[in-house]
Amino acid sequence: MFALFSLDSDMSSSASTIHDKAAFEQFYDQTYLQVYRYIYGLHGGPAEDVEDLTADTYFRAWKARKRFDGDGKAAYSWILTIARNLVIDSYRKNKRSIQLQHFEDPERFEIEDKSLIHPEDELVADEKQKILLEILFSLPIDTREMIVLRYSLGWPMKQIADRFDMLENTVTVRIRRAFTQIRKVWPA
Amino acid sequence: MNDKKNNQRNQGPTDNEFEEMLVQFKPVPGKSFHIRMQTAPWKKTSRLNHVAHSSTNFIPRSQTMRLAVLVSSILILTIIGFAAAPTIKTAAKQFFSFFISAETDTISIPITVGQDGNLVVYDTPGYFSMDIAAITEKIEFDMLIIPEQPQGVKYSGANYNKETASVTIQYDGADKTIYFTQRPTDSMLEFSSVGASAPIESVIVKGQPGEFVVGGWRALENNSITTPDHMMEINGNLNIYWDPNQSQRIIRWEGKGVTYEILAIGQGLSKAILLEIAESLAPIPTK
Repeated sequence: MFALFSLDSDMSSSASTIHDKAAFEQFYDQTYLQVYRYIYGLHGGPAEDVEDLTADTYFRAWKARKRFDGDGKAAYSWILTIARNLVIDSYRKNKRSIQLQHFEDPERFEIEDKSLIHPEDELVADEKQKILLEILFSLPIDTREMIVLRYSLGWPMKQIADRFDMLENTVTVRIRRAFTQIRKVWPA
Repeated sequence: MNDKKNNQRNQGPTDNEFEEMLVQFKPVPGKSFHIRMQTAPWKKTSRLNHVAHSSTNFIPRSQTMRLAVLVSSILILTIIGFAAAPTIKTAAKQFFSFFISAETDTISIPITVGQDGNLVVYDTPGYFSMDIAAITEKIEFDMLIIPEQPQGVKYSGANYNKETASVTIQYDGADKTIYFTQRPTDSMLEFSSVGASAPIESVIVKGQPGEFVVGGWRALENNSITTPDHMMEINGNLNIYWDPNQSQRIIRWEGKGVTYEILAIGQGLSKAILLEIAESLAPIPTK
């Protein structure tokens, strides 16, 4: 059901380094969409800011690549950490509340199978998704990140648990609790 | 089972519905992002790759914006600083026109001439008839005085010029006179000019940059034409010339929003003595 993205064997085996141009370009091509969505999920937009943060993320990674030592899997985790730090920095700098603008440009979003969605249902679904995301951004960033990794990026629970150095069950519970929390404030 | 209970209790979506909504949240970057990233330094196919060999050639838009804001801020602050801050203004004045050199060593001005030919407006009888206490009530800055009278001169009076907001204190002696003038820098009055050939020496007075000049404008004692170095003419106004050998020394500087000038005429007032006098300046003692 879920179009889960996970680190495939290609990435972890082929991108053993990101030091040279070709390897970094390959790394970028393989990861930029996930990084963009990850940042969008944590940051909340608008899209231009997310694009800037995504560009900044790769620019920093490019500059620091010589100090990185690891395989593609580690590089992917590393660049997400860079992205996360940039998002947190942007919060601090802007000191702003999140203003969601996810629906400013419908073409920016991919629908899994549009043929299955009736236009009216799509509107309702969009509205619900908008509400969900707005509430999501009131959650702690760790919880938000778990949800983004799980659903937007499609990470398996095990991988998320490893990233947060937690048990899988703990991550699952945190996400379920978040849903409960969201439901509590869900508009009637 | 739990989802159904939650749904019934809160009328909100189930966990599964949440999951489906989240999975469908898949934003993609716009075209502008891809265009911008084409110039990234790691792009082999970049159209600009031939000039983007180093990472320094690739600057994300946010960094460009930050850079532009930074440069603009520095520019604005510099302009404000030059306009408002006395110390910066002093530096600016010193850089541009602390002492304004005339285009030539001869100029034409309407001015009172002293008996000895020196251009000293202060020679006007009764010019220094005010006392310092009366002047302090008229001015809006903290006036300084020379606390100990320099050797060979004594306090002989003061003047307050309302038009220039200047205070001048005169210390007179047998063969020398000191005029100490101060006025708010905000009055934006420039110092008077010096001859084009006058050497200007930089000095530090009370920690502030200042300038020292030897010489002065001199008028002819009569309408004769010849001087040692310059040809002078009287054409209605008084024509004067810059005399580097005139026994006159000037120190000028700015500090705490006030412009100071010590003009010494006569013998025995060397640069060192004038600097010593300048450093000794102090506020009027409170009773």
